[in-house]
Amino acid sequence: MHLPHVLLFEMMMESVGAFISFLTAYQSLRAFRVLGRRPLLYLHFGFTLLGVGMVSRVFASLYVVSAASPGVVGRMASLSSLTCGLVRLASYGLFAAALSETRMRVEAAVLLPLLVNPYTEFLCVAVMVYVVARSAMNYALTSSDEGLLVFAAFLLMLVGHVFFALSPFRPFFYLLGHVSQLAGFLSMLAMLVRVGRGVGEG
Amino acid sequence: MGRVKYRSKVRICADILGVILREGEVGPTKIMYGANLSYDRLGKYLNYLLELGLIEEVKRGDRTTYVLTERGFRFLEEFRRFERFSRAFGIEI
Repeated sequence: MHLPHVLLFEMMMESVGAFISFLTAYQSLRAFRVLGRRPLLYLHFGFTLLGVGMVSRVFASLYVVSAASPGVVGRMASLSSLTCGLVRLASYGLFAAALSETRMRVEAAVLLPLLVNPYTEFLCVAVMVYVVARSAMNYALTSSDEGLLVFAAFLLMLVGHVFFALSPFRPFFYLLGHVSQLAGFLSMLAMLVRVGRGVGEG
Repeated sequence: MGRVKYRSKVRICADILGVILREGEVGPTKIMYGANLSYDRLGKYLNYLLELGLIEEVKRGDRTTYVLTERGFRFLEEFRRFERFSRAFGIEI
């Protein structure tokens, strides 16, 4: 794959993901204003952070595309990859806090990325395993279609990170990772549309 | 033994509004049973909902009934939408 094409593909995927993240963050904030439940605020900050990470990656890719020097391209790409990985990890920490509803201190979840090493994909996988397990338990309890869509969204994001972690071995996994993440965000979008329309409301 | 489920203030308000929506025009006793509240607590919540303009009092002789306002209907609709959103993430209200 030619380098600019890879970056353009990534920019496109990250833009769609960022849009759905911001949409979910907005709905979480509106829900928090009406219902006053703190986990909804964690969801809001988590999705906002996720969206900001994706947008910053799009801008970093734009910079890389426009940069002439190959040295700058390499440094910028690895810096952007590390920063976005840490931002993603922080947002997943917030999802874990929102879904667990335990007395876990949210400050710890946000600061965690500052204390860990750069192997963020593996850390993202670890946090997402917990998030997926919680959303699976929620679906098992409620059997709602929306619960299933949220579970599917987090599961696909997790699978995406597994593919990203494996991409150094086979570049094809990188493509699969993005496709999986996009499918996850589309599942989240489907949930938002269902909730907005009030489909199946009793 | 099952855990006692805590109901938030907004949940109780939505339960009261739900009873009024279902019945159309309804007296306090029916709301009390429908929303599972004591008489004292019901009085406080009805005053609160009246202040917010979510319900209206209708006097018929010595009998008082309550109806949902347009604002109350919109609030209940919003509440139900966000309740579905929260439940999708396993967040109880």
